[in-house]
Amino acid sequence: MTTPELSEQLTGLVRSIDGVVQVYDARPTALAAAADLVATVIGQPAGEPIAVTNTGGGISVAVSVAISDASPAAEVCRRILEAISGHLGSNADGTTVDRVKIQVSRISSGQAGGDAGG
Amino acid sequence: MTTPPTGPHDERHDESEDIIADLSEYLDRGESPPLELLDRSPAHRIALESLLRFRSVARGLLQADADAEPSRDDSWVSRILTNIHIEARAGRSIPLASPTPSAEFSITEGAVRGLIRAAGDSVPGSLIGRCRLDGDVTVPGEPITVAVEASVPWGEPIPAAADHIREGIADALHRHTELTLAAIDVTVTDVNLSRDGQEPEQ
Repeated sequence: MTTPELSEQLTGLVRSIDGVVQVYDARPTALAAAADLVATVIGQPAGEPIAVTNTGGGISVAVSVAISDASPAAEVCRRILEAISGHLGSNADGTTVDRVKIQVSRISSGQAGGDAGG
Repeated sequence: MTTPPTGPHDERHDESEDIIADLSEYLDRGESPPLELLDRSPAHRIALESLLRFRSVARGLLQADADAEPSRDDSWVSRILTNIHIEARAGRSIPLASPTPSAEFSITEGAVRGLIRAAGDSVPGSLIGRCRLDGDVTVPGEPITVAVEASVPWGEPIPAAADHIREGIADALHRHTELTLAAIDVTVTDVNLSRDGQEPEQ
């Protein structure tokens, strides 16, 4: 499986987790802009917000999310980790997880409305 | 179809100033900012939530203040707006305990400041102005002092109003962070007339 495919799968997975209201681009801004520009030029879709890199020692995943106020931030982070670990562990290609970084970038009080859910 | 607002975008301005300006233009027109704009960064959502709460409370306060004291200094409004855009920035990364060494959990300082503001603003009639996290939030266990400035409603004893704000902030921080709180300092900088514009009881 390619890294972009894995990123797409993980993005969909994280968006579906209870307590996650949005997934933000976790890639470094300059890198994301450059990658998306290249993708546009060669006619490929822009990158998914979850950053997946192959570090040599395994896969490194970086996630940035907005969560709802309904669950403590640490609990939502654990749900995300379990989902990602479960997904990668179930892959037949023997992917090993080197590092998973999960950052809560916003806690939604639910007053602004219109959270896109990802 | 909604046209994105235009306005001065001096590159020397902080990006968060533009965020507040863009969002305010939509709100001033009675429109909801488009999802495309809101989804651009966490700062956009944090700022919008803060602005909506601020406008909801401030509408009544401003009218009551205007009725009672036409010449009143309303600099607190600009102070709060200024602080909203400062606080929407991501800031430092605050660690959360993770179950395995290969996992790293964190919450941004901007998210925590947004949380503090929401908790303080949820106390009826209160509005949070400046909000600061003093101490090294990047090191687990370091004592942290939360310092907020607040506008509180007329009629409620100021110590009691400050206590309500302090309790709301403490509950929110204990729920979502693992910060070691040394203190939550609430400085009351304004006393406002009641939200419905009634005259204070003599």
